[in-house]
Amino acid sequence: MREHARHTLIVGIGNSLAGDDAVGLEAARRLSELPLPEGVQVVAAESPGMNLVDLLAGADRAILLDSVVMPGRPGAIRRIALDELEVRSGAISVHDLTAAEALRLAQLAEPERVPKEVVIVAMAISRPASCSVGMSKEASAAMPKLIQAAVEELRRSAVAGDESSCTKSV
Amino acid sequence: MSERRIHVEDIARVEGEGRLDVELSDGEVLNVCFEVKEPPRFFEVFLVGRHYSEVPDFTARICGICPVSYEMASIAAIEDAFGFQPSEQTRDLRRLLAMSQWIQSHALHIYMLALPDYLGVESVFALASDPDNLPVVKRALSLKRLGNDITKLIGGREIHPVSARPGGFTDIPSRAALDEIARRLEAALSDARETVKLAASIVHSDKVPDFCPRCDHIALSSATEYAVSGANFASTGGLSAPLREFRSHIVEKHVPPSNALRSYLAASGKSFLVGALARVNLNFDRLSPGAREAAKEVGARFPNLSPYYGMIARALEIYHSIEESLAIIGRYSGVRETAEITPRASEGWGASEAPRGLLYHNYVFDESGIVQRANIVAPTAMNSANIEENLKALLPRWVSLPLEEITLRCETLIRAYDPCFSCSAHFLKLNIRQV
Repeated sequence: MREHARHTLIVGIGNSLAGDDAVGLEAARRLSELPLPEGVQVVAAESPGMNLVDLLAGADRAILLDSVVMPGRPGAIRRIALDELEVRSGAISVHDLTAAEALRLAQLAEPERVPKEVVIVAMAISRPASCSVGMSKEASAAMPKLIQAAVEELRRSAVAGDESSCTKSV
Repeated sequence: MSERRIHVEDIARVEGEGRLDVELSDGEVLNVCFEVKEPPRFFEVFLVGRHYSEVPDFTARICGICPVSYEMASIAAIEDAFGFQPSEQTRDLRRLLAMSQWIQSHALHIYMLALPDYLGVESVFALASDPDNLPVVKRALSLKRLGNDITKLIGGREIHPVSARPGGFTDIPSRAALDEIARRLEAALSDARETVKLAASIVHSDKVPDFCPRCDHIALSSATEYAVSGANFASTGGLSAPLREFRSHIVEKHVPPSNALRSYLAASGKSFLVGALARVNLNFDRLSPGAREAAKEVGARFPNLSPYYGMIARALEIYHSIEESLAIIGRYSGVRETAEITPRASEGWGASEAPRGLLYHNYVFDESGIVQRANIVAPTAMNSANIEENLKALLPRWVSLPLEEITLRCETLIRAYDPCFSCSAHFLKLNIRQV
């Protein structure tokens, strides 16, 4: 049986001008300095909107690192499957399209472009600050936990074999 | 006496935000106030003191949707000031770049921002979840992706492209890369044709009011091409003037309570309209043959002054952009060029037809090419007075309808302009309040 590394793309998503909304970008930066398994690529994507789907094209699996607004629990780390994400209805504009909306639209309209597995690993933040560079103390203190959660997610689904290439002699 | 008020908090499916307040009483329209709240961004202030080479990059940041238009307009103004003539290849590449924006922006507007209004759904997600409408959404995403990929190939990057400079391009695409784009453009012609048919079927239906306001439409105009850039502008009212006279013909006024300046024609004091519809109305016979044929097939006739007709105009521009891009790629030689541009103490005027309309830039430079003064007028800023005027004109027809229905019709009209309030940095909050 032939084994090959799946292509996993880790995408740090955020807005470096919106305070704690930069955590995904910072996480991608720190991850890219670590030794990573074969087949794993890390990118930082600044407010990618609809382009997120194009970024993910070709990957077997995607791990998105992002912030999530959850008042009262700053720094907590959550693992969210794509289907769990809530999508706002109606109030969309190109400036404002979230990662969830972009992926949900792609799942509906261009499912062949969406990786088979998409997981979001998010840090809870109080709220993104507008026009503010730099993370809060809570977010900075929780960064190692976000990195750790990303690494664990990488390990969760290890190298997969390609069973279709298996030949059996009868 | 019964009074009703409309005040919508957050209008959907426009770029940026704005506010509308409507007061109705006993079947009469008492007041319509379209307030565009513009947090000041001070571009025209902080550009003073910058070197001309930085201006395209700075002004591109005014908008993340149409940065190419800002780059093109500022480059045109700089080259005008310094007396520089770009090469034919540079002109061709700039047209390709500008039209790639039209393709992606118009596709996005028609399908994702405007279409839901006419199909009675809230958003493109509802369309994508419906098997009958799914092909329509796929078409939109495919056209948008094509436009974005052309922008990335020629501009070096999709958002805030980097290769366009005063004087030319820092890098140019290969023949092979453009041949691949040409293949995709050919394949996209049928999508463009379907888009024209869809737009016409909606605009000619009874979902769209029969409305013929009297107002001037303004766009760049050229005798030899369908103008994307250029030194002259014209109006459907017969005005034709060089860009350097722009501020004699178009004045800006501050109209409280909005923070934004409103634009009016100096001669009449009236509002006017810019955008794809203005361009098609003024320059129809310079559209590509296929675009003109597509218009004829669906019975679209220009000039047509109804802002709702903008949807057909945008669809025709997608078609035109594809055909003209193919022609440009056909003659592209890909020769590396160098250009010398020398600053001088001067004043320059430049404009670009952004997807949403005429974008005007004017700069004064010193002998070293440092900006002394800057003036930028964005297309949506020019349209905001016209939006309010047409709301006032249409509301009397709608006064006896339920408030929700009136609100939707107001929003649909606003969306028909494809406004980008972010460029004029605006806020649209529309609240419904029944008193």
